[in-house]
Amino acid sequence: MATLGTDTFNRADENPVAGWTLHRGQTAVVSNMAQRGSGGSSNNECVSVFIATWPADQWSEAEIGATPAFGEWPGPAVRMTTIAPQFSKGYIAIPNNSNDTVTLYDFDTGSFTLLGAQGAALSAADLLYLKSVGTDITIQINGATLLSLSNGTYASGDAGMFIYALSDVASGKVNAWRGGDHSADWAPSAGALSVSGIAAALRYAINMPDEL
Amino acid sequence: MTRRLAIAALLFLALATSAEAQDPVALRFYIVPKAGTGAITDPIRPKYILEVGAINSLSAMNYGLEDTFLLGVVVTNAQHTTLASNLDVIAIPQDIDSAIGLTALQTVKDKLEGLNIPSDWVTVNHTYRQAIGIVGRAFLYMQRFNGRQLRKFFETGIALDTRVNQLTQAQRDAMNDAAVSLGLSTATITGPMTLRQALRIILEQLPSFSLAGQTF
Repeated sequence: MATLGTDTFNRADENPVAGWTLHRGQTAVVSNMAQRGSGGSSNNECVSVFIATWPADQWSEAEIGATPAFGEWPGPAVRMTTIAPQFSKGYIAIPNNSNDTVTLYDFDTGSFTLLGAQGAALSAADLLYLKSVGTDITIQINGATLLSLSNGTYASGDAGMFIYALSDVASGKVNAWRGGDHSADWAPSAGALSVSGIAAALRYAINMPDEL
Repeated sequence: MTRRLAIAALLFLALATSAEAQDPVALRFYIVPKAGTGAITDPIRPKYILEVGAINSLSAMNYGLEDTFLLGVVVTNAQHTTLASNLDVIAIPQDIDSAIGLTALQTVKDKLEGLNIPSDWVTVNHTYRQAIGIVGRAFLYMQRFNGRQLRKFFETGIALDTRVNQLTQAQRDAMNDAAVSLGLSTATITGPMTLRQALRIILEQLPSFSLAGQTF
């Protein structure tokens, strides 16, 4: 679980944020926190990835900068890829304090697909962590697992952060960010189905005479 | 705009109200169509999830670009009744470790085939957990197929009984690419095989997966 990137944003204001690749919109540093910057896109969301060499299995952790109001959703992102300016896709986790939930989305260039949600209220200084290892995705808050599920859409990409904000001077802020490598945790293996008991069923089916 | 955001707030789940808390809750699994435009205020989501009221926990697997979610959600009895009353919702029995049995066998097979998932492996002795397991593995593969190919696997003219050698080279390459990307082997798949057979070979290799705190 090596750390491959960190940013505390403790520096002079800048727009866009240095040391990051902008995928969509524009991320800025204001008052020592990352937030949505002006310019870059007409949309309310911005996606930036930390400049590093990212393995497929990775984690991203955002320290929430301010209790996020409704419509102000900052969080970590993993396996983000882009093919052109404003195109960005991958997995994101964001808090919604209007009803105390954290939500996992498949984000694809402005299109959100709901993958999971779990009750939780985040405040400033809380750590929202998102990990993708193989097809397993895990969300943690302050080190405790909140939600785990599987999704196979994205195989690789970069770790970074996602911020949606109705205003570029609002509460969707990230106080600090870290990301790293989780490649030692997961190895796909043939026959793993036997653990769940399904292998026997499949073997039975595959060995049917008319299918050999 | 404010109203749309308010509607979205319902989707992002909320702690159960006191009235709902009096109704026992249980984890249940469903197969449901998709709803939503994809906007953050109207995300693509399991259909009817807005209609059931506040819920605490939701996990969903999309079936690639197909119009289907596998949904694991903690619901009250009333919420379950609301969800299950929709004709396009497949409600899986609450005890997922129970055997499918003779009475439900053909129904389960028909539902799987309706999703373009091979069903001829299913017997009366298999459990619903095993059925969810094969559905979820099919969904994982189709997610990767969509993620890499940006299109549906079952394009017009392609069905489970289509033979591999009836696919175009590009279609065969795409099927192989998605499998290899997941670390799976397609070495034993041959041209005369049907997709029904080929997909089973692919899905068999996928490791266990988790959904809503359950392992399949």
